[in-house]
Amino acid sequence: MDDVKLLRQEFIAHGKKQGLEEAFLIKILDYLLENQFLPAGERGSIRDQLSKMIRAYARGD
Amino acid sequence: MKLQHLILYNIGPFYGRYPINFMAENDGNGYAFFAENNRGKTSIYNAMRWCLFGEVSERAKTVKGERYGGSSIPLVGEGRILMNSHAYEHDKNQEMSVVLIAEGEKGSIQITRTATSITTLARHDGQMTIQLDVKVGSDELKHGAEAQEAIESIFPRSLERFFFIDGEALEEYTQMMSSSDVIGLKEEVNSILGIPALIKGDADFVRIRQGIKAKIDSTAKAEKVSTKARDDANAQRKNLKEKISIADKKQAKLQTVMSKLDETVEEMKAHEELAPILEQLKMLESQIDFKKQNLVDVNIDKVVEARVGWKVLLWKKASPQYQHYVGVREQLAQRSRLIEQTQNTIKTLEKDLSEMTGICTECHQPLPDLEHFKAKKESELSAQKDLLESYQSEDLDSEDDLTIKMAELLKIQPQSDSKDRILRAQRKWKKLVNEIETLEEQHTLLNKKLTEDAKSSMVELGERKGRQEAMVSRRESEWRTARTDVELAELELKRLERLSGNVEVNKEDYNIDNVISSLIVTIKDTIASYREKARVEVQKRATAVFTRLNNAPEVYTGIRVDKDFRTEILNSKGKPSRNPSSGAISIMTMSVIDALRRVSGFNVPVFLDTPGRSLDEHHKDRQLDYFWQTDGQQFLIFAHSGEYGVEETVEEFKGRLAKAYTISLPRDHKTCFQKGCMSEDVEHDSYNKKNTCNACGFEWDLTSQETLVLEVPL
Repeated sequence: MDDVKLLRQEFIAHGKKQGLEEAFLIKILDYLLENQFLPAGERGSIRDQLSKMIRAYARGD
Repeated sequence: MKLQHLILYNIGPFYGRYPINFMAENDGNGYAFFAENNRGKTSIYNAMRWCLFGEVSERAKTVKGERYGGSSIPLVGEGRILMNSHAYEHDKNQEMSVVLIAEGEKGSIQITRTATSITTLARHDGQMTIQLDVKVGSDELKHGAEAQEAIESIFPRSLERFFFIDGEALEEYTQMMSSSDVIGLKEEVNSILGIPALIKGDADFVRIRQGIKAKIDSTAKAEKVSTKARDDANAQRKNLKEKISIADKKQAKLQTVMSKLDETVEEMKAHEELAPILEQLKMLESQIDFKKQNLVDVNIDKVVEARVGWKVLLWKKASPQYQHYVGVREQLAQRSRLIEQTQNTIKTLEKDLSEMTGICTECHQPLPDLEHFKAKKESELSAQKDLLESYQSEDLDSEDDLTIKMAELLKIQPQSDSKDRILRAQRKWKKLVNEIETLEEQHTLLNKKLTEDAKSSMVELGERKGRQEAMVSRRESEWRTARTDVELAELELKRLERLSGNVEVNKEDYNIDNVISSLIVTIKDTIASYREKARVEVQKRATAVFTRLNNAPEVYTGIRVDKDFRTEILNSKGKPSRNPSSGAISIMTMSVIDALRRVSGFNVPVFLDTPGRSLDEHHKDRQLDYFWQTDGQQFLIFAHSGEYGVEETVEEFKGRLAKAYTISLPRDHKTCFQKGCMSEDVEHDSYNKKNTCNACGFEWDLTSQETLVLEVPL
């Protein structure tokens, strides 16, 4: 198993089952991993960014 | 992330600036700091921790599964401190700093943490200011909390334990990995596996979804309102139509009545010449009616005033008698006064006569003609008595009888103005009667000027006109009410039309909601499956490392990691080993830490302090053999001479060792340590406590406390 790819593989596999695209899933997971240690009280900007990513994906951008 | 440079300034035993280069010329990932005890290995290790996290903890002790200690090492003050003690005690401005330069995924990373005293001699950390600056790639320079956040995103503090490994604290790791104590490490295992990313991501998506849901619900509600408004508007249109129809009918009726009224008015114009007479007649009639009405009131007044008329008449007769009684009463009073007065005179005269002595009471002289005087007095007395008798013999009513009689008469006395009022009312009535008679006479005369036909026609027309005017007024009122109903219905329709329009269902919100829902399911499914797969992966990796490092493969065959990531060494039968050796336990611990780290995929350097503790020679070699690879993460060891020999290690791991340094004091060197010389031909001067290199002439003071960080040639 190639290090962090285990988490990524699982996430992508489950995400694909939900009909989500791989590139989008990778983008989301990388962003979550990058900010995983930010406490809940300081995650406002993270949620804003996630919202933008989701909105763009939903529009098909 | 690859560490490139480290610059120490006034920290630990390093007084002044110490740049340490990690830029390797080969592909090795191994880095080594060799030193005797108390030379500064751990200070470099701690300097990096301080630079990254702003705090360095004492080594925690584990006693019977409980952890003790672990308090922060202060920057300045008494006892053990992070700042170089010479700088602290002697420098005018106490300052220490660490600069860490690395290459990461986003480009170059430079972290600078500086502590400066705000007083002449800072006695505690509260008297120090900390400045943190972080520059990552092309991002703006960050300071303070923002800078710390940037560090945490690269090098999370919660995972410090997996990258700054203290060989002397391996027992602590082991304790926490054992079956009896998993508290503390479980969270860290979750963290290193990236599970917080999923858990926090899940919470983030739930929050985002709440917002979207609220928007969708709001839109749905608006749509519901809009649909109802549309239905209501349709009903209202029907209602409005009915109202308009009613208003039109009312208007038509009004117009009919108005046209009839016009006709009547036209008819009346034909008798226009009679109009003034009729007008006058009407005026007279109304005047007569008014006065007759007035006459009724005046008549009532007259009757009311006449009620006391009998009193006026009787009093006219009784009044002289009453006046007579008044005179008699005055006579009685006068007689009483005269009687009293006469009686008093008599008393005085009688007294004078009885008391007469012949001496004048005034001048006290004998009276000259006493008898004559006495006779005169007696005569006066007699006259007075006669007078009294005449008064008393007068025939007059008694006072009481007189009062009763007068009271009886007063009962029929009218008010003083009664007569005038009766007469005034009578005159007023009479005047009004006369006026009515005059008006009636005028009316009769005027009436005679009209023929009966004309008069009846005019009367009929007038009455008709009056009725029609009343009808017009009523119809007009009805029509206005109907128009108001129409206007209100129109306003209501407009309101409903406004409500029913402009509500569009935002499909994008539904799409977003679906995507978030899918992400939440993805995260939940990932957490459920990934943890187990990660456990299997960690177990596999840990076993692989353990097998490679272990020197007794026939006794210890692998590592088992349970669902809570507690670990055990397996024996040759695949069962948990009852009493594994301390070396095997240390190797297991290192293997599991490495497996967790690798599965996590965090690509940051690993710092291992006192790496050879609890390991025999074989394990120590194998440890480096495993960790120092050409394609792995940077792996730094901080070893003392008893753990790893410099020359042997450099020789054995030449290709994989990127950089090696020794940390020493001048007195530790018996050979020349000048770069490029390294001659063993050294002269020792014990008297002056110095060594001199005979090859290059370099001298060094054996009493110097200046720490030397010397790169070992590879």
